[in-house]
Amino acid sequence: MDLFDKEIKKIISKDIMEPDSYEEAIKNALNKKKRYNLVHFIKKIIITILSILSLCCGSIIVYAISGGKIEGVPVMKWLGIKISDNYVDYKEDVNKEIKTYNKTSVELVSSLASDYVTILEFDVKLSDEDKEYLRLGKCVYTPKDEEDIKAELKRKAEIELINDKGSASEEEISQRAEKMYEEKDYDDSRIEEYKKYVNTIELGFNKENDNGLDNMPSTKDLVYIDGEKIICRNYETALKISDNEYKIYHIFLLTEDDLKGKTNFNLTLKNNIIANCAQLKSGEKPEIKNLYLINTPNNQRFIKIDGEFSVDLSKDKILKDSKIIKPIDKKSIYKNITVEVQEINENPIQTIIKTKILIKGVDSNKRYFYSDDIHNPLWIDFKITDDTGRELTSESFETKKVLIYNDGKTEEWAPGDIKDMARYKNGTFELTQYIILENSNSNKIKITPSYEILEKQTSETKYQELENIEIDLK
Amino acid sequence: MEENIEELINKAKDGNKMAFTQLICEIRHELYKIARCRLSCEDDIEDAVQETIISAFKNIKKLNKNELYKNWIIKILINKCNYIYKKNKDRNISFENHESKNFYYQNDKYDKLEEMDFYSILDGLSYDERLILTLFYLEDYSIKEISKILKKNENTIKTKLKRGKNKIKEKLLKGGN
Repeated sequence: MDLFDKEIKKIISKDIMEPDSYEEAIKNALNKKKRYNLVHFIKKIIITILSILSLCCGSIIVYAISGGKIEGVPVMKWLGIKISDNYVDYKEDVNKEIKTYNKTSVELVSSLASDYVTILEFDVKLSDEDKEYLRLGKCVYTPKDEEDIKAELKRKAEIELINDKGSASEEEISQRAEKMYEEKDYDDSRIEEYKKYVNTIELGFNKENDNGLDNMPSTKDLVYIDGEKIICRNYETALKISDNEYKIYHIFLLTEDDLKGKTNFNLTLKNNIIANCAQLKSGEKPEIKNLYLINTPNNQRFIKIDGEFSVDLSKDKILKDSKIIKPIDKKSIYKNITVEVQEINENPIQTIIKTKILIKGVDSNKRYFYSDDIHNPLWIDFKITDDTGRELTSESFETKKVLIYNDGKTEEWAPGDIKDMARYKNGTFELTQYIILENSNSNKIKITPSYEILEKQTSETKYQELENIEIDLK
Repeated sequence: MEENIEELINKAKDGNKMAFTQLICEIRHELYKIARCRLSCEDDIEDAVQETIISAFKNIKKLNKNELYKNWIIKILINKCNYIYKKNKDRNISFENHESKNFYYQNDKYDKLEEMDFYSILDGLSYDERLILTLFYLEDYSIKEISKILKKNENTIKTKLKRGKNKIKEKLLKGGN
């Protein structure tokens, strides 16, 4: 190779900019066994797979707690965490109503701000027209989706026939496509999954973006805290009161960093929407573990809510009745992983535990493999028991994820994000995870961190537990 | 071949999707460049790469020689690109004429080699020349290997490689004047 060859090689090997959608396209292809006319398929079938934090919602164990009942429906159901009965004593009335042009109304009924957890309660009354438009109660998988699958199979059949023999008649294509359909030569596992879901409603706040209004509900909210944009995690529970009425509890997880230490703040929600979203039919279980929210463009609908909600919130009332414990050197170490409990905040609504996690020596090439020396989990799960050994209901969520490369360069990933394409060797993950825990009268709690890892030989998932961390609450 | 890659291929053959994911991650940028030689429409490039990935995963068990996995995937990709190009010719404007529409493309003078990029250096070359130069310089394939991948005579490959290089030289001389 002469100098000129070397120069050409250098130039051709230079990185070129690829559109963001390229990475996404690869991820989508890797996440599905079979897909036909993939570009169009991406556009037609949207599957929102959320990060592990949102996965937790997929296996919600719902508890009804006090707060009264409306026509036999428990007013409050939560995502596996028992929220204290004190909720009703601490929430503040708001009563701010906004109507849409179709006479659908959304009323902000009450608010509650405590450390990390802010809860807004809404009453939604839908007009008949909007209820129909949102396809509430109907299956997420629509007849149009079925038609689309058949159309994609025809295209696939055409490709195969042309590859096989150079040409294809309409009749041959139809026959091949029909056969493929009968033999379920498409990704029917996802379709079967869709069929387990019906539509309920979800509120989306501050959905404006550069392209207009983002119409997808999300487990991350953009909120304005004293006029400043903050991205935070959220959870939402929608309770059907009648065919046209829903009660919605929307939880914002706002950390001290988000609030900059303020205990009194204003929360503003504008450019809001009511969207339809998937809810498991009763008795069904999701097969795809990390599929929290399913929708298809043929099903996906949203209604814009005009006007804004602006509410002044104060944590003072709850803070007066809160206890903060800062344990010293409460760590659990296993191999390259250190889990440290940094703070416990016991307030009248729930207990919040702040943890810091260090995972050293991580290698993207070994991400999915069980290695004897280095383990590569991307998050930590927690099991918490009281002094009688009873497991307390809890939910953990990540607020910060930083990857420190071996050259010291740091890269912050969005909480819950798993960048499949990132390449690193001997790096360190620094995670901040919070645990929301039901209040108990226990003097002590036992925290057991664990993580999922793939067995190298069998590729089976196994759970690796770390040693317990015991915390004295009294 | 690195032991790790060999191990990944074997796992992928056993149906391990994680291993297959890693294999694809390693070569995704190269796949994009190879597809770019033929297609200019981003949707079509993504379509071609996606279909390649799916086809490769489905058929990886049929791969006899692990050391040829990359050649094999590239072959699939080239076939997919050719098929899509034929189907959507109208939206895949030729590489030579797409500079005004390609927002990645920035250089319009070639007086200095170091200022050139993937697009500018291959601009003005035919599809075969672009692909052969990319396989030769980016993938370090020999003339023989390229002839096998493209199912073309070795002499044809040699000629097209030489012609491509000459076009780049001419372009540089023209830009320098």
